[in-house]
Amino acid sequence: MRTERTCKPLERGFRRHLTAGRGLAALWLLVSLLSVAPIHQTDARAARKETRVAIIANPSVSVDSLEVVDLQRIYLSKRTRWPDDTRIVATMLKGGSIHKSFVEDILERSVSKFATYWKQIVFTGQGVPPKAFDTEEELIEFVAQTPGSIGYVSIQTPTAGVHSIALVR
Amino acid sequence: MDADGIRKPRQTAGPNSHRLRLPASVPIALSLGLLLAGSLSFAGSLEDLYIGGFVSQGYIDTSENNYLVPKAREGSGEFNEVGVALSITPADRTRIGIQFLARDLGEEGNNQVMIDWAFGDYHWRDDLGFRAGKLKLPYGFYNVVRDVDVARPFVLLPQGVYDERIRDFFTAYEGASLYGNLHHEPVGDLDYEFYVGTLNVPSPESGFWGDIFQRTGESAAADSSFRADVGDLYGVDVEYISSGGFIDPHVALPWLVGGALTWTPPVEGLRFGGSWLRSRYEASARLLFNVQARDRETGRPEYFGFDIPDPRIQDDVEYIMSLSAEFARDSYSAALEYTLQNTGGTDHVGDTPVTEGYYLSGSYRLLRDITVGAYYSRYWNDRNDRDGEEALRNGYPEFSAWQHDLCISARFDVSPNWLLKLEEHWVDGVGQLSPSENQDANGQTDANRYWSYFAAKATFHF
Repeated sequence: MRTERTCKPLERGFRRHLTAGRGLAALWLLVSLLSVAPIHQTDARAARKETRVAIIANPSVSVDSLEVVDLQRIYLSKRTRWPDDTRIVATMLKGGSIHKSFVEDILERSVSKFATYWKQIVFTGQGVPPKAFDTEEELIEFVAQTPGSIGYVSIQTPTAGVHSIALVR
Repeated sequence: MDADGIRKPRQTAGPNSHRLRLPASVPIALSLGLLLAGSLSFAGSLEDLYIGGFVSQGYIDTSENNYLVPKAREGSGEFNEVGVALSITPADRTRIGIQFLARDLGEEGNNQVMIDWAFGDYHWRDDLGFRAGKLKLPYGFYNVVRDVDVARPFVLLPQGVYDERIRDFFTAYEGASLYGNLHHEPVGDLDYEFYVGTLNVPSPESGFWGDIFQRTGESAAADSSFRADVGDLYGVDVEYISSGGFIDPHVALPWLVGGALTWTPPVEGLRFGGSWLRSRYEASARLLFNVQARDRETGRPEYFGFDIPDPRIQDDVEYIMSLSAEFARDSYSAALEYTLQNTGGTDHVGDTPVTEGYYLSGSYRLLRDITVGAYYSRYWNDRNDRDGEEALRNGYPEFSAWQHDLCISARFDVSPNWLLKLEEHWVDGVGQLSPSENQDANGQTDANRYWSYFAAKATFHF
């Protein structure tokens, strides 16, 4: 959309006007200079080769293995059906090191970027995020009881009653 | 102007008399309710019901010119948003969702609770779904996430592409869409959306449309043939006509069609997009005038007011299109977006002006909690008058032909639910300013070419 103007010429020059923004400019410059030395190396790629995460699913799921890209598409809600056309019910942990490993190693995103992605989906009405659990035990129990569900736990956690899915890279 | 339509004013009711306005305490109470809900960990999924929300308060302080909010030169806090989104899955493949939003940005919004979006979704397959209701309007990558502060490092999206003045009616349409995601291994993902619908303009009495009505009245008052028509109709010699504003404004975009494509190639963090829409607008308001004249027979002075009941301004919106590219990996992100907008109408020499804008932005996550960003945004009211020569010929300053904005920002993620943003803008040009907000006491325009503004915003989200 366009609007026209009714401004009349003014001879007034550029008056300097101090706002709080001047302080911000200085802050930004300082912070930028500090950034010459990279402070954090929590890149997803740093630890991508090995993962501490095992993928589990409800026994009703007939899939035995998934490619990383498929898992990414499931957790970004771009793929919502199993090959037999049943609904995929994705689950996740609310936080912790296993959640971090899963998001960074397998979804290849930072935890905050993943959270932001889902905020955008929620606040534009395009979907709801994976069902989130506080503990691995709660997640395993839900996956064991919910047809079509998929989740992840530590490879050291015993997973009775669920179906393991191999990850293909 | 059609002189037959001229008549004496009959109505004195103000333009806002029929509208519901919430007292200031209502949004505040709603905000507190949201905060409470968040702190009680009520947020999140409750079986099939999902609730999310956000509350934000901003501040704008401009130098030289008033922008977005009246009296911005003195600093203004008329800049806040409260939103609650609910979503429920009543059956497999179906979903119903709604988001309530109350926002204020100067003359826009005024904290009236409105439905931001509300629709039913039938997700038949991943590559084909259907939605109907009030839906977010896809334009660029970020029009649909304008409300979502957490999605970007900036308080304000680059104005060259995302004009804040038209946000109230340019974020959602009422209609239906087909959408889907196509995935092919070597190519990546293609997301598409095609839609038809109508656009609703919630508050045409102020802001963008208010300026257009005001300007239409002022142009008519200054027009000599209009003056002659008035004289003939009333049998007087008109000495002076002034615009007395307008009442009963109505704006509708009775139909629009459009689509958007996003291609995500198998390169981590990269995506490209394009959007296009076509529409038509119909605007009307009762324009008021005050006349000073002399009776042609007696020569006696006369002072009277009259109004033009329904001067329709209507035209085809030929196209509004955008092209987008984004690269976001690890701590870095960059975006480049471009728009061309032919919203119809003709200028003083009979050409149809085409608005053009683009920006380049970048951000870097410096620490876990601190992100710095910058963008340079450029905007021209008419791409064929980039240097403002035509504007100058028409009595406007040449710098009213453009508005270019250099912004730097800092974002602080204070906690997983709280964020604070600060940013400074240095601007050349006044192409997107409201004329009525930049006048001196005598009604003379008081706008400066070089100016700056500071914006801050704190947001709570769950």
